[in-house]
Amino acid sequence: MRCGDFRETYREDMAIFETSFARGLLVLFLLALSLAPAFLSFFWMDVLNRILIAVIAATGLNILTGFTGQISLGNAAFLAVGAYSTAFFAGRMGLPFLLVIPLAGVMSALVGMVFGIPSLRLKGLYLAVATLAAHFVIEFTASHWDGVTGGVNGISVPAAKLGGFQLDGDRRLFYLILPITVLLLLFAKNLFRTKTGKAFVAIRDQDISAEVMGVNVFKYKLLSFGVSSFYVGVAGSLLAYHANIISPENFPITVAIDQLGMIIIGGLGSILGSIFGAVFITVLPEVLRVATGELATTFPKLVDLFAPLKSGIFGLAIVLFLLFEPDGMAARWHSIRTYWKLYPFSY
Amino acid sequence: MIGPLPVSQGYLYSMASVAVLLVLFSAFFKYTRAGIAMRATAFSQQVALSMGVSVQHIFALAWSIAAVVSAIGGVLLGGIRGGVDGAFAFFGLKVIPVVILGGLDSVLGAIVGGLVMGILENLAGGYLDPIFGGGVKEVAPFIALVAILSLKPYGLFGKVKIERV
Repeated sequence: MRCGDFRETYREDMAIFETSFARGLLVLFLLALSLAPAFLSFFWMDVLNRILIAVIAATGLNILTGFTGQISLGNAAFLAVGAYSTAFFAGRMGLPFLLVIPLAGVMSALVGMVFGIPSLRLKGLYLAVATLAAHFVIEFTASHWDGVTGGVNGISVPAAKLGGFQLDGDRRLFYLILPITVLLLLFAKNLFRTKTGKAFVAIRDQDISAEVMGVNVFKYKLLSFGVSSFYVGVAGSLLAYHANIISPENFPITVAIDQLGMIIIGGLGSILGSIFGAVFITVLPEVLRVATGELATTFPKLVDLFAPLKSGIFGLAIVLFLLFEPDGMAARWHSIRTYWKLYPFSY
Repeated sequence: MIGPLPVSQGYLYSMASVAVLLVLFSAFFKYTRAGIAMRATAFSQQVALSMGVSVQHIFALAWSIAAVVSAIGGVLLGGIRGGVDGAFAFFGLKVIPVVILGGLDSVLGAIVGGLVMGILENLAGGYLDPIFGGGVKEVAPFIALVAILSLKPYGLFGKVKIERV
């Protein structure tokens, strides 16, 4: 373990892992995670899969909102585009999932870029409203284009197949979702070491300055919408495989708000933050459910209060984080880590 | 009954209260110290601060006025629809196209925007619903919204913000 910052070269400064120890730890963690299906119950496998899908979606939103500074309320809709594309390509055309998942991402990216066009002229509140409009337009399409989306009744998605092996059920699906999550997280982490990623951050910090420095603001804003929606589309595709049947009710506006909550609580502009936030927001209702179940014998009325309790705690968490830790859980994690690094001799 | 048109009492009361409120607010923003201070804060918080306006108080005031006005709207709406339910929460989303069309910082814009959007909604619902099989009424304002935002982002009566470098 090193006890300070010894960055002597640009290479060291840009490195993802500070030490090979950290890299080893992560590999160990992933190995442990990949063994999870052997130990977790059916219920917690389902939660784990939903966490991983939420991690992908939150990372996508963080690329757009946290790193490029373009707020979006259209995430639930982009998720829907990914899910319905999966239903179409896998169900109607019978393509294998290795093709379907990237295609769903691309479809979502295209739709995201179309609704990103107003971002050329709009920012802040106006952009939020424009993406909100995108949500309602796509929701309308999903519930009325019966030929493709199955309308309000929904549409079923065939299970993913690898050769003759069916990837159905939470345990098997986990081995499809986990590698994709890791791959996308790695890509996102690396994206911000490249010119494109740095352009995103420049636009977030000051768009006019970025333009002056030679960053093509419109091009990179659109690109950011594209990359972000691609992530969300892939998440939607996995969600479709996970849910088997999708209908417009799977993608209400609250999903988009939940995802904004994830990146605010986790940390805007931080990949690690999206992971923390997604885990927190997905696990919160499950923990509450277990807790209310345990307490139901002593306080029978608690069961009725479950839904309001969930939204209440969700809102409270967002407000408290905005007040006391605007940089989210990722910043807290960082300060805890630096504290323990030199623990007894911090000065 | 107004002439040959049957109009329910609820609508008449609503219209009367809306008219009173509009006059009150126009006067408030134009003539009172608090109203002018609010507009100054909206224009530039820093300049308002340096002119002795307590921005903190203005924000508190703005939030409470907004809440009171929304509550009045809720009471009127409840009177018209004859009941209150959870769907009221989504009504807040429906006003967004209205204020964007009119311009965010214009009281007149809110009236004109409300009328235009209401008519658009019902015309779209009436003519297009048979083609698309229902639901156009809810989504039409948002389609219009995208067009407005692309063509005239600050609405009909909103103040155009110009960025110069």
